[in-house]
Amino acid sequence: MTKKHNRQMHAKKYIIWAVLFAAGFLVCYPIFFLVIGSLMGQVELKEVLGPVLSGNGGYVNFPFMPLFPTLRNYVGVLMDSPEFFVMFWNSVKTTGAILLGQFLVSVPGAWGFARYDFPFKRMLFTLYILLMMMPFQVTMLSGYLVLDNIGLLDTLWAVILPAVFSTFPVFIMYQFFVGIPKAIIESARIDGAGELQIFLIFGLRLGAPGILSAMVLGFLEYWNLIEQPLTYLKDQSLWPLSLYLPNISLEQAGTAFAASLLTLIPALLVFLGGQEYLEQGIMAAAVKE
Amino acid sequence: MKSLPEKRRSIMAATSLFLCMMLVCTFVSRAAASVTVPKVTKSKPLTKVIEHRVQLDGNVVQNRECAVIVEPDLTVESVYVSEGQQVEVGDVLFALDLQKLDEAILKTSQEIEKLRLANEDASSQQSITDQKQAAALARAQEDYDTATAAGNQTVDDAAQALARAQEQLDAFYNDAENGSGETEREDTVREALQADLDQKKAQAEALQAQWDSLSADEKAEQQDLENELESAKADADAAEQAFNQYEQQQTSQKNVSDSEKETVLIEEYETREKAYQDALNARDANQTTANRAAQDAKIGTPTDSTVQTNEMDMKLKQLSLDRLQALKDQGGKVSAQVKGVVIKLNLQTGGLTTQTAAVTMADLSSGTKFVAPVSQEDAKYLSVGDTVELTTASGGGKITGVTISSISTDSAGSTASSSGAGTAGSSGSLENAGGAGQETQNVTVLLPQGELTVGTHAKLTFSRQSERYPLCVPMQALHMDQKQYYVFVLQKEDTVLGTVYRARRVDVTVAEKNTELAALEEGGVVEADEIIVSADREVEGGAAVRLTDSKGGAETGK
Repeated sequence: MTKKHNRQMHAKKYIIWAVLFAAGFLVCYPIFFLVIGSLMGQVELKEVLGPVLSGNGGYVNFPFMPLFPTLRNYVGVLMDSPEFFVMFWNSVKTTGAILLGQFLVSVPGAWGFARYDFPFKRMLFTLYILLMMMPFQVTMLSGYLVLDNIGLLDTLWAVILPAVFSTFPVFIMYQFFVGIPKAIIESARIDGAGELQIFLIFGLRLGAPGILSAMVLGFLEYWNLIEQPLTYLKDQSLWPLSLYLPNISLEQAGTAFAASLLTLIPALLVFLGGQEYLEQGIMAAAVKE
Repeated sequence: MKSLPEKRRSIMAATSLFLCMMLVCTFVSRAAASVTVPKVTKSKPLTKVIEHRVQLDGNVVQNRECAVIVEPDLTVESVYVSEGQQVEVGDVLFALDLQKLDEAILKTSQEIEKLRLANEDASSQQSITDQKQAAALARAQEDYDTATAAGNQTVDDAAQALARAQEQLDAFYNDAENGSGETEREDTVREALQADLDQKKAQAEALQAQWDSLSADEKAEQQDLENELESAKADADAAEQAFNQYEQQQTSQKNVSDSEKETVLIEEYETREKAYQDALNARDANQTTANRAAQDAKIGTPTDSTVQTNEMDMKLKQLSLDRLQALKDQGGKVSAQVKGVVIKLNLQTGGLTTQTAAVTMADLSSGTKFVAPVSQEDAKYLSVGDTVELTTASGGGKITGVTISSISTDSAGSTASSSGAGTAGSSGSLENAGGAGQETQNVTVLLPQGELTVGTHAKLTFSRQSERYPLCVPMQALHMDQKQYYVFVLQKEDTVLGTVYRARRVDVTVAEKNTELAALEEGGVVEADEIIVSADREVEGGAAVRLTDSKGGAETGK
């Protein structure tokens, strides 16, 4: 009976593996496609992508390996286009500023929501959730007018400030802060710690997974920001990397692939770095007192 | 699986490495861009005047030339001058061989004499021809008269004979009609014959009757009756025959004599008539012949202009003779008539003179002029009457205030400018024949008397200023692409890198240009445009450019 059971277990495992693998492959295929494409020369790319991008019918027959691999695209992006780097540092600046701002603004907010009671708390929280759910397009126009009135249009602050006061990280951190056992806080209070001390020592340390997961999610979101820069930034020298090639034409396909891949790397690194926090955070949220 | 801190560390390391790499690449890419982007200098179009300086190199040549011509085919004994030598009035240029000169004189006079004699021959021939003609005419006239007279005579004679014959014939016919007495004489013979005939006939008839009365049987018995009958018939026949014969004979005799006569007369008449006709014809023929002869005699002789021709030749030869004689009087030496410089000698010692000029001289007394070749392009800026400046190459000095007297296409020195030695400021003749399609033309400037000697090299400078043009750019800024001029205009553009300059190609038309400036026409660039004047590498339309550091540094944004 155990053998059969074992075999069943193995089979199940394999089936699960297979399904997951298939799903994973489907998800990863675009990245794979990017990598291969970025190593192809222009002629080959034209040939391969012609049916799609030039409007003549037919199907794309994308090979698994480039026939004549070349690093030309990477050289072109990294060495020959200063614009890429201008945009890259713009993205870095923007994302860094946003994350810093969010840390400074959202963390106390979430802590407050989590640990304290005050009048209209429920209403405020509901408002926060509402705001979180509203897509950017809804608030775009009003945001534009406000920024114009303030005079921040066409500066990076137009992108940074609205994002800093985003309600999403509040919500995530709130979940984590709520999970901190009251007992520890109480005992700390009894021991004579002030609110700030409690916040700084307990809140930040114990809620670190939450904060970091919010940061990671935030990074992933703000590294790929497209709509806000397009709407609020007219000066092209302020654009982030996500706007490097808004239109991909047949001639630029190779460069686009290489640029996309390079854009992907920081996000990948951040995710890899923050992955365990995400896991921890999710796990921690599941554990309720 | 790595522990958290280790993993975190490695991720941090990777991230910082990535960021460093990006930083490095940022600098590298900018460095690369700065190398490939051309550095340019710019300027705005200015309002300027385009000055055209024309500098021409030329020579001073004589204003007038003269030629020394002598009779051809004379032997040159010696030549006393050489090309380029200056001679005064009266200097001997060359000497001719006297012997040959005498021979030439003799030959010419002999030729004249020959022509004269030929003329005399011709005129005598003419008079004789005339005489012959008159004589022929007279004779022809005589022949005519003679022919007429003789002919008339013959005709008259023939007419008379004809008339006589006619008379005879008429007389004969008249006799024939009136009857004849000659027939009575023959009656006796005729009667006898007739009687004989009758008798025999009667006899025959009687016998015949006798015979007929007999019956057939009896006819067979009566043989000798038959024979008698037969003979009687025969006799009768014979008698009849004889009678008839005699009758016939008489008649025919009568007829013969009549017809003979008639025939004879008729023949004679016809003969006379024929003779008359012949006489007429003969007379007419003779008259015609004589007439024709007369007409022929009247036709004149063709004209002969030998005399006039010879007289013309004689005149020419006489002139030649006079010249030769004059040379002889000079002793065979030819001297210069004007003060000048020998340009060309067409003589060889010991050779023969030719039809063309023996010596060509520059006539110094008529002044000098400066001639310079000018290309079509430069010629555009010069026109007759412009004041120019001449500088001698040897530094002899400047001559200012002289004007261009002509610009023409024919070779140096032969332009017909009639204003002699021009004084400062005078304008010359208006001969401005600039031939289209010719590559070089010649500019002539008349020089004042005594200024420069023939053969001096000099430089002509002239500058003309055009009108003020509002859009002038340096020549460096102008580029050409298959006959279309264009300039690059700086255009500011907002890119990711900030404000960068781009070079925009603008096609222009050039109104006027010299070596430094080009004046552009409206429609291409405007005054506010900044034009790229020079670049350190080739600029293409639409390419990014940056200004050189001296003008404020690169304006690329971060």
